[in-house]
Amino acid sequence: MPETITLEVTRFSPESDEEPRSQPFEVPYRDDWVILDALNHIKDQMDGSLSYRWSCRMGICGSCGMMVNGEPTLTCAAFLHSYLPGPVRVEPLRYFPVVRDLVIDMNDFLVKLQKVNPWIVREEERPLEEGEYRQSPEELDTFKQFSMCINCMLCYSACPVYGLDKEFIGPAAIALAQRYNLDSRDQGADERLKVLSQHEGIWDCTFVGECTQVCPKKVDPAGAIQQYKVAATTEWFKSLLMPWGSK
Amino acid sequence: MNQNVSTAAPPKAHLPPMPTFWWLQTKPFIKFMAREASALFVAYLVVIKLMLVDALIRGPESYEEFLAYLASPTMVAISGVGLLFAILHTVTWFNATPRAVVVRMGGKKLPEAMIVAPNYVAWFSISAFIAWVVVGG
Repeated sequence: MPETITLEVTRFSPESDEEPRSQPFEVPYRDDWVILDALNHIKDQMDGSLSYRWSCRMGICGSCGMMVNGEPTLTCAAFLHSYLPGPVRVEPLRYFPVVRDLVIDMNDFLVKLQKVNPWIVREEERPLEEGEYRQSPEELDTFKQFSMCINCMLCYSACPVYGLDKEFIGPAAIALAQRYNLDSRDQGADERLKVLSQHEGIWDCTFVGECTQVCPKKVDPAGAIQQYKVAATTEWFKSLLMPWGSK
Repeated sequence: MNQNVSTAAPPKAHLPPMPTFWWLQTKPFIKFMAREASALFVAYLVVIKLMLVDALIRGPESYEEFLAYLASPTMVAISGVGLLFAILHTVTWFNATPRAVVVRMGGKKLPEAMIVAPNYVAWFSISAFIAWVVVGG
């Protein structure tokens, strides 16, 4: 077991740097340490000015996503021993503007997420006396996979389409739209279709499929997008063949 | 820099441009581009088929002439590469079908193999039928 491992961490100070640069840190190697532990060690013991996001340390909050050796990765779920003997390249999430060191500006994602109404939309709320909206295990099963998304944005960093076209609404937003569309309690599919059937919605996706590969929660955004394409095409054919039919 | 400078202004963020050869950066990106490029070869093979039909309509002589042209080593090589890409195109898309098509029976999701298999069965059956018509018929 090695004594230490080197992390090559991206540093960027908007006040003084024109471009991000890489800084090596030699940290103690521990078998049970993840990349995030090593970053915390750097911040606590070596350089308190290092900036990065993190919170739960258990793959739930989705804050600590970074590029590790060029792969979008949740740093709390990536053990140092997988990267032996090092060095390990730690960079901010790709395709997002870097604000400082490993911190990216996530505003674009948050705006896009809100566009798809990622909540249960009801045309009319049922009176409280009528009780809760019941759902069978089968109905839950249709969308449960897509509900596991933790908004970590790894899928955006894996998606070259998002890298090339910043208008693309992106994998997680579409997967979450699908999560609510498939929910038996929801009635907002038509509203979401207006946003998602545009070019910047589902049709921008060329099915590279890497979003699904990097997803730490096995959400399969690529699948969600292709299923949405099938649904949107079916809707379009229906409206073409039966223009009088109610939507 | 003066430490009392106001930080109210939005920070200067850095967004590197997308490299022109981004698709050479990782293996999955190269595979993706090969899959996309395969469409060009599929289109090429379709055009050759249409030209073959056109030659057939114009009579036996032009048909033989076109066949001789296709039999040249260069054309055989191009057709060979085209065939490889056509197979890549078919296999990648067949294997991708379960991602786009989700069938539920009795409340359960049908296994992916059940979605993929009919594509291959149809592909091989139709190919075998065409081969039988062309060779045996």
